[in-house]
Amino acid sequence: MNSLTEQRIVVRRGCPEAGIKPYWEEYQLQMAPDERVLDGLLTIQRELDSGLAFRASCETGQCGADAMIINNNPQLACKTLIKDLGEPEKIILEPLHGYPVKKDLIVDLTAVEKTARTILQEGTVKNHEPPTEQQVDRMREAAICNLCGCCDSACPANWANNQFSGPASLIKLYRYLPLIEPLQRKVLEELNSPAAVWGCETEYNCLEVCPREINVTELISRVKEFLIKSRSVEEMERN
Amino acid sequence: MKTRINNHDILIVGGGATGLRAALAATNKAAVDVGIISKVPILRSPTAAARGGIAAVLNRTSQDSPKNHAADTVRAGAGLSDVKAVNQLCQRIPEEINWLARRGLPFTHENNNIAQRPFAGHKKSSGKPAQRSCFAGDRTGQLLLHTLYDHCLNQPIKFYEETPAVQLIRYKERIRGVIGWDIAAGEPLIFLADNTLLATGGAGQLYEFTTNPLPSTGDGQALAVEAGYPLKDPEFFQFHPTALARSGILITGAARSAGGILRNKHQQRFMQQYDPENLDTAERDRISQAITSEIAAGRGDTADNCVWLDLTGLSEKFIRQQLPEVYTTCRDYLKINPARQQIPVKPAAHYWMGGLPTNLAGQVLNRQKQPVPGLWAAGETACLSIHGANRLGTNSLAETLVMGKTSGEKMVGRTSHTELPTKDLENQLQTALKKLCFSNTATNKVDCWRQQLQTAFGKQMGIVREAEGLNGLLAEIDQLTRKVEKQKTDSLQADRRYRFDLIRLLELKNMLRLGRLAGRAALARQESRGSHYRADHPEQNDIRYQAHSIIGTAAQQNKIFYDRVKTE
Repeated sequence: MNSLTEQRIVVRRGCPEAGIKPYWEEYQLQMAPDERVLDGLLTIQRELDSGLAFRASCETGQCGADAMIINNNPQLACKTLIKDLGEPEKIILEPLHGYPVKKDLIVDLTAVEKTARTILQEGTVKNHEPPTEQQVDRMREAAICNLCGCCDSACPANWANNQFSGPASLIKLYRYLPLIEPLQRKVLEELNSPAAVWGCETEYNCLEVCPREINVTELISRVKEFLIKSRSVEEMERN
Repeated sequence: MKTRINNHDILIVGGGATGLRAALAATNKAAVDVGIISKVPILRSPTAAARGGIAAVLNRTSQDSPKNHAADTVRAGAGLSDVKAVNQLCQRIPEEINWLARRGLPFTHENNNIAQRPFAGHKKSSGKPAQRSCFAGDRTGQLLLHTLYDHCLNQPIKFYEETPAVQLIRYKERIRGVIGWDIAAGEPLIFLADNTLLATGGAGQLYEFTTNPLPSTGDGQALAVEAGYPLKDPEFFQFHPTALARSGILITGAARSAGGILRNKHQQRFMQQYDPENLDTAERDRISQAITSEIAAGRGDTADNCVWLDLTGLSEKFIRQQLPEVYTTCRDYLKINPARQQIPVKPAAHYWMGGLPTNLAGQVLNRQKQPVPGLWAAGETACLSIHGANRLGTNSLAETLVMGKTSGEKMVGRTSHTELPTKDLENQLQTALKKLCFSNTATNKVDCWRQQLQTAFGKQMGIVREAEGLNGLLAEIDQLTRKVEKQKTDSLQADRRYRFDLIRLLELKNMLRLGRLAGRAALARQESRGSHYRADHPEQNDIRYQAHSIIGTAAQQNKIFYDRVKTE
């Protein structure tokens, strides 16, 4: 069952900072159907091309390091078996869309952290009282996000709207919502904009690609609800 | 090449749970400025791969207290645990759990309190399983890592990601920082600090079959050894009994605590023969050794050399809620449902009990047991002898938190007044850079050499060891070391951005250095204790070996010094 077959792996390479324009490189190797795409990359590195650049760490889908586009779908190379891909003519690997490419399959994901940074700086996280069981359960839905970047890469609103933070940052934000003082004005302003939640056009691509199976679109909608509710509370108080 | 110099009060090497906790403790205590350098992006740190939980006694009763937790830890340690260090851990960890909960680590709850589940080896006064493990599903490590990191973002902590440490900077017997390598730019960076904490995790990548992520190559330990400081108890590696047979993906011990049963190919619950009292929740060394015996006796699977973990007594709902990662791992990698089919498992290298000797504050100790000024170590990098010869499940995250916090606080306020002469620094930089000068042939072969080392190490330093095999391993390590050294050149390669092959060469050199010392210590310890089982010396010998192996100073490479454990 686990016999080796010839696989053609085609990788989008390049390094803009060093002036190396994008190009395709093809590798041929023997792989078993139970092997992961990551195993193929590690074999290439070991036997064919030690200079191929990609990130990998836990190799088991926990850390999110090896997110990339595999045959047009953003996913983790360590969670994608060869047999999961059907029997494509070749396996095409590209860096995640929507992020600056550093080299080969490596992208710069630091922008994703920006929102989390703002929220935690401005939101004065309460640390005197531990959250309740109900709050914790809601937080955990989002906290299992490991910021791999697949959702941002699959989001059409993110491609079209330069201002939009993308779904990953919003998931990070949702995770800390219960810990933020309910009416922190600055946080609300930050959220209440086309650059944040209102940039989401509810396309559902994010939840289809999420390797952690987070219901991304639903959680973003809950943030929208939260904002509408807090706005009406504010208006009531003003009147 | 003009090399940038970054100055910090405290420099932390490694951005896993230990390093982040230390950074938060330091900035909370005083207005200090902290730099963290990490070989991988912080969120890809191996901490993310930790599953099971964190041991802590949250509710003291007549049946359970930190004293019971300490007694269990010492019992598992098979005579090599340091009682003071264990007590410090067990007393301080409950407060850490509450600290994390208040900062938004979403621990699994029950009746509006943090839920706690049993874990192998943790017992109440009555001998029944104690519920001490605090957890967040079976994704505790990832949630811990992200929570700590998010809170670091609004502190005066500067991150240098994808920047491994190449060499310690030493001046007048004091550690003054490290020389690092910026992977993205392909350039060296100098980090100067009054205090440097090594928190680079373990070295499970020495093994072919391991649960440890790719970055776990013992970098911090190797740098300290290179600088002339010893390793303590490096022969003790723990094997986790249940990793998936082909890939080594960890199936958490919480699965056995919840009722999982290990079976051989005749469907027998074989732990009944090896440990009728504790059965499938016996300590890890005993279960791993039992599985190895079953496989050796031909009662395992012949093709994959494994036994089976049977979770079919648990409901699918329970598994999905309490062990979600077990469920998805089985579904995605094996295409099976663990509530209906048994999981093929075998032991895999998991945790290194040995490491850099430290005192209770986290200061690294030299051969004379004196603190090295400016050098600290914590977490798996250190050997404080909490775990002794065998670690109890859920105690490693506990140690990263308690010792991360302790060392972070203790580093504050210790300043150095000596200036480091520019000339001296320049010389040290040149020595460090030579470590990255390799021919193209070397970078092409590095992964094959790494694989050779892993195969040999797995075979001879596995669950069962004996003198002949260990001698063969040492010969192979020497041969590989010579091969690597031969490939050095005089200059750095021209194309240096994101050259992970250069980093893997550094890692290989680190692992060869550590592997040799671990192999020597294993050969010298002619007894069996905890995770160290010698087929040619199957008995525990307290008279000769209730002692820590201290090995590896530059001057006395071959000599092992035994530091006897004080028993009252």
